[in-house]
Amino acid sequence: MIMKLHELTIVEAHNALVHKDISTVELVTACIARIYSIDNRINAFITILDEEALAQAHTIDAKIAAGEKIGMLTGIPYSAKDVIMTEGVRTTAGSNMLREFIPPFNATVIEHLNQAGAILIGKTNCDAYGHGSSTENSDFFVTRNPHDTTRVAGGSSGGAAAAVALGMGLFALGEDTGGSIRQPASFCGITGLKVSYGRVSRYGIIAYASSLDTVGPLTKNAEDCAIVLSAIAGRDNRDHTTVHETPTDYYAAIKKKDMHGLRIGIPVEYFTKDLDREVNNIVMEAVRKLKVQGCVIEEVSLPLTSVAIPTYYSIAASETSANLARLDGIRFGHRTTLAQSTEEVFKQSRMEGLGAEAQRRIMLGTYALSAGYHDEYYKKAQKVRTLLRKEFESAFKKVDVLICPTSPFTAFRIGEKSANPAEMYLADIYTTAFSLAGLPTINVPCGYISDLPVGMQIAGPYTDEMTVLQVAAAFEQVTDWHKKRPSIS
Amino acid sequence: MHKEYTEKELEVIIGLEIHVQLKTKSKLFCGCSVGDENALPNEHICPVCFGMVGTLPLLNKKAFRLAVHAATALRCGIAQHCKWDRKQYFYPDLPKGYQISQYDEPLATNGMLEFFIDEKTTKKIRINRVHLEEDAAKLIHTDDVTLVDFNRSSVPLIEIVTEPDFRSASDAKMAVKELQRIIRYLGVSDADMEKGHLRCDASVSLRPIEDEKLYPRTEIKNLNSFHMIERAIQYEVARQKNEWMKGTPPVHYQTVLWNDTKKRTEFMREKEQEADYRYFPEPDIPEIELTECLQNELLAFAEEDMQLPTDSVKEYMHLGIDYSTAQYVAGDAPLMKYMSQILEYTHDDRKFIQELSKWFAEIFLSLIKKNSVTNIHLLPEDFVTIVRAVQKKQITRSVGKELMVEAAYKKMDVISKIDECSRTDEVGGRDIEKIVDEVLKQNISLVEQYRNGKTKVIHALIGKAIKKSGGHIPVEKISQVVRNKLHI
Repeated sequence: MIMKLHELTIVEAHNALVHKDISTVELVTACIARIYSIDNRINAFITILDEEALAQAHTIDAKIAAGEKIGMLTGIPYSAKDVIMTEGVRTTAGSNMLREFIPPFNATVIEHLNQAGAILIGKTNCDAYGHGSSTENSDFFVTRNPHDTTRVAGGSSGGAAAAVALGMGLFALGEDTGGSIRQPASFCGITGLKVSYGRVSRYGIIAYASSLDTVGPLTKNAEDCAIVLSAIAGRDNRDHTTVHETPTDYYAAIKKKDMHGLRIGIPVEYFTKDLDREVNNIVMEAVRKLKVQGCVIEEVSLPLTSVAIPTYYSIAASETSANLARLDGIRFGHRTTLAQSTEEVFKQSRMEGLGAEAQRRIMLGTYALSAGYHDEYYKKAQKVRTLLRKEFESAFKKVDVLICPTSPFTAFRIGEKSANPAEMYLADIYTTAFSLAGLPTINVPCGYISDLPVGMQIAGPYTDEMTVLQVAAAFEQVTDWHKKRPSIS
Repeated sequence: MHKEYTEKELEVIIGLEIHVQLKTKSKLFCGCSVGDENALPNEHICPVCFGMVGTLPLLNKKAFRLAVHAATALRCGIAQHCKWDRKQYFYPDLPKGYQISQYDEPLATNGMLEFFIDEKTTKKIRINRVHLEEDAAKLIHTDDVTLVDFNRSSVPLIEIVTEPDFRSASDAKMAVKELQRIIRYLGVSDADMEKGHLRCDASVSLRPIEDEKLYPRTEIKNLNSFHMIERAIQYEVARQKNEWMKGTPPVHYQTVLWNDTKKRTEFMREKEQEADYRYFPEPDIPEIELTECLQNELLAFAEEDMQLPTDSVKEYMHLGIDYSTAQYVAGDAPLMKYMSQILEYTHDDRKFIQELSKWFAEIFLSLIKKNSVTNIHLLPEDFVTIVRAVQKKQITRSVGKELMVEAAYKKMDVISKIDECSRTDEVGGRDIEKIVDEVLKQNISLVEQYRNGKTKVIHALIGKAIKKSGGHIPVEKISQVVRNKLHI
């Protein structure tokens, strides 16, 4: 049997390992070889951990040979977005400020995956601190779209999405604040889950916006998402904002749902005439595929959709202005050599270490929180956020899930939007409302326009990842879009 | 040009902001030990209190309990739920670039602190708020560099803000002393000012009498002793009085630092507005329903009917104990226990309590200053027995005193010792004769003066006899013997 090992899903690789068709070393080697053969054209990785990964692979093979029972993620190679802290392995957040930063501890999600036996093969590129929708705001390099290298991979978890699309690791951990998993997953044609706020621990994640940040998986399909989620979800004693719920085996339950009678809401505000006609048609066609399985389709209205972007940017910028204050050049990270005073250490180190977009968002947030403006921006945004949450709550009384496009367009050309930040911010138009409400949302590939992937979002009520995953899996069962891989080789 | 005021036309307005370090084992937002002053620099730190990226704060429940206990003692209303805020500014001692504090919804509000200013008078000042927050790190300035010690970073503090109710420096000092006593009594903090467990900032302004509004204040930072509190406020009041009297009252809020060597305040900064800390709710800590979280504690505090040291002072004085003894005992839990045991034997006999109070002040206090009350053998009932024996003239005052000192350091049967002493007096009857004979022999001229009609000299002779006897023999007996012998 000839298998391209890097093309395997987690389930396939697990079965192959269990049946000893392949070894962990072979699997890890295949993924690392893939990085070395194509990543010079893609730029998905900031750090590659080939030696460490292979050493771990050998250990796991020895265990398998000794007859030890293995879990779903044992021996599975994966990558982590570079805002996720890894002990002893530099974690840059895509920023010059942290170019040499080596964390002294692992993020809780990394600990979980270590325990599950998954093997970290590298750290992926992103917009610095998650500030962006294209990875063009990375201080390292731009990650290119696997389907067209003149285009962006999306962002901010662009490296993670490109890595999964090309088999540079069987899955990736990303981080989504306002769309940073879903949008790059959509641009790269893979599955990406933004979890409910608090479903997965944020401990060890370099914070962008604390009340919005979520960690989640990017995978080749919904099943794999369920497997990774089962491993990383749950209450963490080091993160007060994680939800108290008993651990769930999402994978075991993912295919148990009968779609018959499931109510799908189509929010009309997400399908206006501004939406690209082809994207509109592809998403509606996908909805019909679910209707055939017995789902009930219903239009719903979410009038506050139009204010989601300004609300999101007010809150996210405010929080990031505080979260990044600790990058002051005093204790870790870049420190200027030019300062004559303490104040200059702060100012100059931050000017040198933080890129233009980070500085822009810090200034926006500082302004929004200043005396005299606080009520007009931050407080008002928080009020709108509460209303948005309520609007979704009442929508979910009528329907089980909402379906809409992930992005208003397919992957754009590198440089096309970077000159105009406001236009770039609009790339998040369909994703931020769900983030503000803390809802679980998944991107599922649902078609192509001129060889570029289109994704749809399936969103569910707060903490109902299960239904979201079940609908995604039901869709993937009757379509092949998630199996389509970029032609680059 | 303003009016030039005279001193009598001006009123002094003082408010205090007091930080108290809570007596917890670990820090407010991480598991690090709070350590002590002997710790090596940066011995008690972790990624959380070091402000590393990726870290999140974890709440210390003990800190909550202590803060609520203190706030209850200050008669504050406790908030239903607890919300945290980020207070933002850049400073090398502030690792996260913000301090986690409480802004618009403090833990407790609207309290009151009562304190004695003299034996007859107490004052009450209003407490505006009490909130919890984390401490900053410590900067150590050397000749060429500044070093940062993060041991103190994130140590739990309560900030107590009073209303501007003080009208003199000494009142402010007395109030802080009282606060220290309460805090220590409750075990909320060691409140050692030298170690920085209790830090005080004072805001001072003046205003024309009968004027209702407040004028720009001067905030004096880092007053680290009672003496400094008083001196610094006095200095600042005098300085501002001078300005008002010249017709140039302060126009801006300003911050100054007290220089204890030069005995003057030093200007730090002046602002037309107070600093903008860009407060916003801390997203990493969800709001907590305090009533739920601390239900049992809150009930316990409510039922305790918290008796504060000032209340004890009043109660003691009411029973007949003198003011300074009452002040000394109140707030010292072991001593209060001892006192209450003593009082059990007095049956509210006011005269006897007054007598006990004298013994307590004159003899007992000096004993326990040398050796704490918990190490003293003398039982409360022995204390009472001795004083009663003296009162009943079974033994002399000085025998009683010696007995008390002896019984303090050595276990003994006080009752039989008293018996023994009173018997020695009788045995000593023969000694009295001897002593008086000697005194008369040595003072023949006085004896002659007496016999020649100058009867007053008998007192001199009795005095000499008492002195010679060393106070071991009751005065009545001695004077009786002297009279008898002179009349022979």
